[in-house]
This record gives sequence, C-alpha cells and structure tokens, in this order.
Amino acid sequence: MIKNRIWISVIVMTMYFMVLPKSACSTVSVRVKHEPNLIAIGAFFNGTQLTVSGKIAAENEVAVIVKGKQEALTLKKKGKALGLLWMNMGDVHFKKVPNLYILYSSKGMMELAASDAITSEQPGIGVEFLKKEMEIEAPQDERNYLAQEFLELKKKQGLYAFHPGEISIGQKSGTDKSFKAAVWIPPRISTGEYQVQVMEIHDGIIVGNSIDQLKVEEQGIPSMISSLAFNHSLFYGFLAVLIAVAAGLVMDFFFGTGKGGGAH
Amino acid sequence: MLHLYLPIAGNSVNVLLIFGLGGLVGILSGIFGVGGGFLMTPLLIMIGIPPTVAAASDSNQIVGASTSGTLAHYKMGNVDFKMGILLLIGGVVGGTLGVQVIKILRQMGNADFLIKITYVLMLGFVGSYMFIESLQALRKNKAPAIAPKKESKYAQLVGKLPWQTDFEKSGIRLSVLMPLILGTFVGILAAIMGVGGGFIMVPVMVYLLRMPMHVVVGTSLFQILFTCIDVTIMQSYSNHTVDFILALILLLGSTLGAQFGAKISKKLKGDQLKILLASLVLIVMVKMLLDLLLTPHIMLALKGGH
Repeated sequence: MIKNRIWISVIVMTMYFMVLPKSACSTVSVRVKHEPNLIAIGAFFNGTQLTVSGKIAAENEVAVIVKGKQEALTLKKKGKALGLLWMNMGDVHFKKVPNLYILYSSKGMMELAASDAITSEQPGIGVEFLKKEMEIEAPQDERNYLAQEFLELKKKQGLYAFHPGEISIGQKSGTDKSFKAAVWIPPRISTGEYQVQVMEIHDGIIVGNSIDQLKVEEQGIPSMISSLAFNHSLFYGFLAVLIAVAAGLVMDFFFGTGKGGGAH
Repeated sequence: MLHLYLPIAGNSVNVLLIFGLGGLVGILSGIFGVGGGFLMTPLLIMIGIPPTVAAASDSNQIVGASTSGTLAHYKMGNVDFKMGILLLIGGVVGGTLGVQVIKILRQMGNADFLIKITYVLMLGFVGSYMFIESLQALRKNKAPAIAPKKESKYAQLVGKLPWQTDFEKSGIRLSVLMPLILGTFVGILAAIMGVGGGFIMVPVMVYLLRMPMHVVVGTSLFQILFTCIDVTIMQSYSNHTVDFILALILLLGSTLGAQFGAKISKKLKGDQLKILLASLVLIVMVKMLLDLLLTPHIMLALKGGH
C-alpha cells in the first residue's frame, strides 16, 4: 500500500514538472522577424541594411546581435625594438573570436551594452563577453590589453560594432510594445552563415531569446571571379596578366608614342 | 557615388577614388619612370584593402602600365634589351636568394626589424645621394659631379672584370658580370623588402652601370614588366591575392596619368627630374621613419604587405 502511494507520488511529480511552463526556469522565444534572410553580394555591393523587428513585453528592453562563426586569427603584435622603433614583434594567435559581431540595443540598455554590468550574471552580450570568450596565446598579464587592442582593430575594420540605444521602440499595445532595429551590415562582411540573435531583457536578466540564421553569399560577377581565382588559380593568373597586357597595348594605341608606364 | 565590390579584397571601394589613386601614381610614374608599388601599396592599405591583396593587385596593375610604357620607350629606341635581360636573369636569381634569406631571418625572429631598417636606410641613402648629386649638378649647370678619384678606382675595378661586351643602346662597354651581379643585388633587396625594386634599380643603372637616363627609364620598365608578370601569376596561383577588378580600375587611372606625367616630364631637365624623384623618395623615407618612431594607434596589425 505504502509502496503504491510512493509510486503514485513519483508519477504525479514527474507529470507536474513535464507540464511546468519553461519560462519558470529558462527563457521564452521572442516574436521576431528579420529582412532580408539572404544577403547577396553583387558587383555593386557596398554594405546593406538588415531590418530586425518584433514585439516584446512593454516593461522590457531588447538587444539585437548579428554574429558570425568563431574563428582563429593570427595578427602581428607591435612592440619597441631597441627601445625606440615601433614595429611588428612576432605573432599573436587569437582563438574563438567571431568574424562579425554587431550589437544594437534599446535606450534603457545603453549602460548595460557599454559596460560589463550584464555579463557577469548573464553571459552572451557585449564587449566583456567577447573578451571572456576569446582565447589568446600570450602571457597572462598581456591578455586583457591584447583583447582590448583586438576589439579596437575589429571596430576600425567595421566588423565589430556597438550601437547602444539605437533600437527604436514603438507604441505600447496592451502588454506589448514593438521594436525595430536597422542593422548596418558592413561591405567587409565575408560569405557564410551568420546568426541574428534577439534578447529580451528584464532588470538585467535575459527573459526571452530568439536565434535566426542569416546567409551571405556572392552572386554574379564577384561569385564568378572568386570561383576562377580559387578553383582555377593558374588560369586566373594568366588571364589577369593577359588582360593587363592587352589594356596596356590599347592605351599605347590610343595615346600614341608618349612616354608612359609605371615602374615599381 | 559609384562603388564596386572587390571579391578577392572582400571589400567595396569607391571607383573614382581608386581611379584617382591610379592616376596620381601614374603621373609620378610618367614623370620619373619609377614610383609605383612603394607608394600605391600603402595607400591601398589605408583605404581598407588587405595588405597582401594590395601588394599583389598592384603588381597586376603594373603589368599593364609597364606594357604601355615599355612599348612607348621601345618606339623611341630607349630600351636596352641586352642589358634588360641580363638584369632580369640577375633579378630572378637574387629574388630566389632573397626569399631564402627571408625564411632564415624569420626563423631567427627578427625579419621585420631588418626589413624596415633596410627599407629606411635604402630610401634614405638613395634619396640623399640623388638629391645632393642633382643639386650640385643644377648649381654648376653641368654633368653630374662624381668624385674623380672614386670614379677611376671603380672604373678600374669594373674594367678588370672578364667577358667585356658592348651595350650599343646604352653606348657603354661592360663585363656581362656587372648587370648580373647588380641585378642579383637588387633582386635580393627587392625580395627582402617585398617590392619590385624599380626605385633601387634606376639609381643602380644611372650611377653604377653609367647608362644614359632616357635608356634607364625604358630598360627599367622592360625589366619590371617581366618581374610583375611573374609576381602576378605566382601570387594568383599560390596565395589567391590578385584582385583583378581592383587592378583594372587602377590600371585605367595609371595609364592615363602616365600620359600627363610624360608631358610634364618632357618640360623638365634631367637633373630637375632627379631632384624631384629624390625628394619623393625622401618624403616616403621620412613617413616610414615617423611610423617607426610614433606610438601606433592600435598595437595589432594584419599580416602581409610591406
């Protein structure tokens, strides 16, 4: 009898946990859409805008992150030679660094996005998160400084960008409000798969999360040239030389016997 | 503004800006017969082209520019093919040796230091020498003044070398070994510094081979044409770093600029040309020296380039 009671209790508790709303112990999905789903790099591509919009609870904040796959990167470290001359002093290997990281956030999150306030409790966002994730093959005392310089270099290239307070928030409707982020995708973006992540945040805690895929691919002339350069490289080299020589001949034909040319 | 996407560089550029850059360097090339890579590559890096792609695509551009230049000079009888081919053979040997030297230096871990120092010292030495020499010549209004004692010793040494032969186009008699040895020397330096070597080759031809200035420009272009064909094919094949679209826009600008440069060049005297070129070389040297002395903005850099 007692044994049966125990069994019944176990079954009831298991069923209770199975039907328990997920939000009680993890995040819910944010209602979100982004356009376009595919970024095509054509001959005139000069960066593009990705619109990410959706709805969140009226009292919450929102962050939009577009990030690429993690890669390993080797850079040159500058240092002083003979205590006087600045030059490249050997390589530094970085691991687990995304090839793209673009962060937009709503106004109320400005402080959170710019600082590390959120990251110690809720990893997944901002500068400190990136620093924490990356692995640097360097002495311990240099790592923080090198991570900071790495972020500066990536920001200069436009591949890492932080836009606190640049998500526009619409009117409240009931318990919800709409948001819209005009995410600038830089021309330096490389082809491949990217993640568009939207986080809904309440009091510094991530309460909603949504991850979508974004594809970037070359089309038309850029695709043709890349394919030639990487798959038929010797032919491409000869072709580049032939066309350059032909262009030189045509210029000589049109401009006659004037002294010209460019030496290295 | 019209932008074009460069698939190998992986970035987009303003067509007018690139065309303008090509034109600017083309004008300088047209005036002096040198001055492409060591100016163009840093400028391309500044506008966001990866260093390796900037250097390789510039070589592709120079193939076109030097084709038109060599042809124009050939028609004027300014190309010494015999000398050019010997220098080229020396250059190939030197280039191959230089690559090995770089490998050894890299293993020793101080390659970058030696490359930068060599670059600054070479630019400083060549620039200062040309500047002082042509300034003296302009003041005295006569042929370049070279210390007679030094000249005779040098001439004696050169005269003792075996296999003397006539270089009719240049109007000189020299040992075959001279262009081979000097070509090798320039080839080693060019490979170490990662440049074509035109700005070292021209002073070498003027001062050490004693060739007339107009033949120097034509022969230098002839030699550079073949060096850059080799570099373009090798870079395409081994490193996939030649961006043909970038090279083509540069080429359109540089060939056009070279024509304007040639017109300016005709109005200037030989020594005026030399002193202007010397100033240009010295400006580049000072810029490089400042880069070495001033604290960099970011302490990390991408690999490649020069």
